[in-house]
Amino acid sequence: MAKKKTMAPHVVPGRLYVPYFNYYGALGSEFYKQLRDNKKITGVKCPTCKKVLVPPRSVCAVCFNNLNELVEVSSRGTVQTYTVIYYTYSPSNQPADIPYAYGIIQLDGADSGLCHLLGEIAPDKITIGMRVEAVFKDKCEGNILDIKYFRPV
Amino acid sequence: MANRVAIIGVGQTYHTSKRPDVCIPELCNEAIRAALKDAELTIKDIDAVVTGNMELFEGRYHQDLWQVDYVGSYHKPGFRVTTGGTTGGTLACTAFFCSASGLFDVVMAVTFEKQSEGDSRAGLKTVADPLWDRWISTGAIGTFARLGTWYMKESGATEEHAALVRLKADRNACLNPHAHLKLHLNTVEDVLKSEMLVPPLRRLDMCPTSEGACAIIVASEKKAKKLSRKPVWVKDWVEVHNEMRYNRGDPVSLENLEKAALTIYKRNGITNPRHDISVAEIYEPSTWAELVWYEAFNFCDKGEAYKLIERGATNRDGEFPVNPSGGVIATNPIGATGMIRVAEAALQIRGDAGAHQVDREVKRTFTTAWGGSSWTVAHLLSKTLD
Amino acid sequence: MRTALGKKESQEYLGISNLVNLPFNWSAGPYLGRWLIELRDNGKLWASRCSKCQRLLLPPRVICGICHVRAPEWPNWVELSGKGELIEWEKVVAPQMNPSTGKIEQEPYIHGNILLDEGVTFQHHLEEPDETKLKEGARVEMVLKPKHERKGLVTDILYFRLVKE
Repeated sequence: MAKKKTMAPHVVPGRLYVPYFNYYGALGSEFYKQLRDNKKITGVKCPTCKKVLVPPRSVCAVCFNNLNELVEVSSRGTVQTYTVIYYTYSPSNQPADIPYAYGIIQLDGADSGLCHLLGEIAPDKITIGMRVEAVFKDKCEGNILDIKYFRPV
Repeated sequence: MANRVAIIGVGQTYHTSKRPDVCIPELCNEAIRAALKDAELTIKDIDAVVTGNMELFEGRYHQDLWQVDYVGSYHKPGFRVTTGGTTGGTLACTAFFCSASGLFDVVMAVTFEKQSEGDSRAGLKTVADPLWDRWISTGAIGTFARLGTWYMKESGATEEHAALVRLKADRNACLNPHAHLKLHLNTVEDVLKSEMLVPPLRRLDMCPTSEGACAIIVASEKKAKKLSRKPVWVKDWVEVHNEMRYNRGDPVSLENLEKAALTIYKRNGITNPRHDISVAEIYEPSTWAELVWYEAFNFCDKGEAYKLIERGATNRDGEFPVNPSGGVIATNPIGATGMIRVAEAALQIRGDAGAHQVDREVKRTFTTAWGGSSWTVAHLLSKTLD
Repeated sequence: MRTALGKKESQEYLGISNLVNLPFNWSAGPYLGRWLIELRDNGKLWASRCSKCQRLLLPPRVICGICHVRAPEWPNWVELSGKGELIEWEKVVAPQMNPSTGKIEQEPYIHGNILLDEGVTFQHHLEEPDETKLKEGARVEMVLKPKHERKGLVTDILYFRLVKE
């Protein structure tokens, strides 16, 4: 039986490169303004569930109330869990050079966790339950990386 | 259909060109609150939530994951459907399916678009096949310019007829508090002096890019009768696709539109659409599309659509109102637009459309949604169950 | 809306830049892949003919969408001459963002829909500095990039141009 001539697969490289700009909304803007202008971290309190949610969101998932009163929370908190990233990819939109650690931090006064980088500590020294505090950039711009990372207290 | 279903609540935002004061989930939440208020229900009464938009416009994907809090789907079943331009129409069908299946009684569907957050034309180009025609895709404007040229040649219509379509849409939009563009145009000259984009298509022949959201609440028959004083019954729906490429030399492809309409008409005993249907809310991104769609949907014979608009037959107070809400030409948050047609049709049946209400009993409405390769979704809503 | 810290809501609405920058490698498959390779290596244009409805499929693909019949594989394809007539065209002048690069492309170009002589349509750029020469039914022909510049893409075809009288 004659062998059928097969063709090497033809693969076409391509790219999606589209810039977008997403609005935070009125409440989100206030949260980031407090970060940028006052280096304060804020959350929102649900009057029904009595919980403080950080970062703030304008609807409570559980009771569906509209939430719009910002309350200040501490910039110190406790590490609930963490992980260390050893891999990279291209093009990278990672917030730090590998290896880097990030965790879920429950700030004092908040009932939810904030996901952020953990810095000034070797990855193998991080423990669950350790106390950390936010380190702000000198010049803040109005995004979550106005907090550079959280470092051990 | 396993269960008969009805629309028991509709809600939309006040559509506009830019809403920097809300993030995407907050925009959806506004429409949802409006729908819940309209239905006199709370979020606890909703069994499942289905959502959708055209993700390429905002660069945010999988919105069913990150807007759980805002759409009330916390611990509830539901999923996301995105079908480009037809998204709103398909989400309405999705809600109908979910409710008709018997698995859920009360289902909410919410659709939105926040187009100022991206470049809409670049977003539209990414719909095209990257291996074949993404590089040359011109998006909507080229398509409708070609449609206009073709229609003028086929029928003898003129640019003045397209201008009349715009005037009708604008008059209706000025009475619709939710509509985006309320231009208060007076004469054909007002339309003809707008900027020429690609001949014969002028700026005022095209829809705007709008930001807004729309939500509808659908219930199965038993719940609908219990929960709503004025349920709007869903009699039928269909979705027809076409190949992405036209390779028979036709500059336009109307088969899907024709097939969708024919299927609905045949299954529901509609032999004279202008007589058997009270109001149509069709998805027409351009004035030329409205003229051509009249013929594709068999509202009139081929070559006669421009005569309908000339004698005002499709005005809000005409014999067969088409798009009394102002249509897509006045308001186009792409993901939501298909659903806005359904919501507006439901309001017309209930007699709740306010200033832009058609002034007679509305028994049956025909609504459509339309997407890039001409694929078409169509629904038939009715005031009564039979 | 007031914040608990006593500040009145100001009108400054912030947001965040979100750049979607994703590389892909798309498999063209045995049908389109062969079509692109024939264009690149041999400068030939092909179509496949559905054995049931007899229409030409351009690009060739595994199934005819109308008949649901498997279409012939290469080399049982129809060679196209690359010549045809202009059905319609539009001059695109508005700058547009290219979603593969994020750059705004300013140069106007003419987008043409051509009915190739073998009875199938194809869309491509039309190169004609004098727009008044474009007429419905005008004869056009395909111009390829030089072989060393071809990469196995649809754009290995440089443009179509009016056949010189």
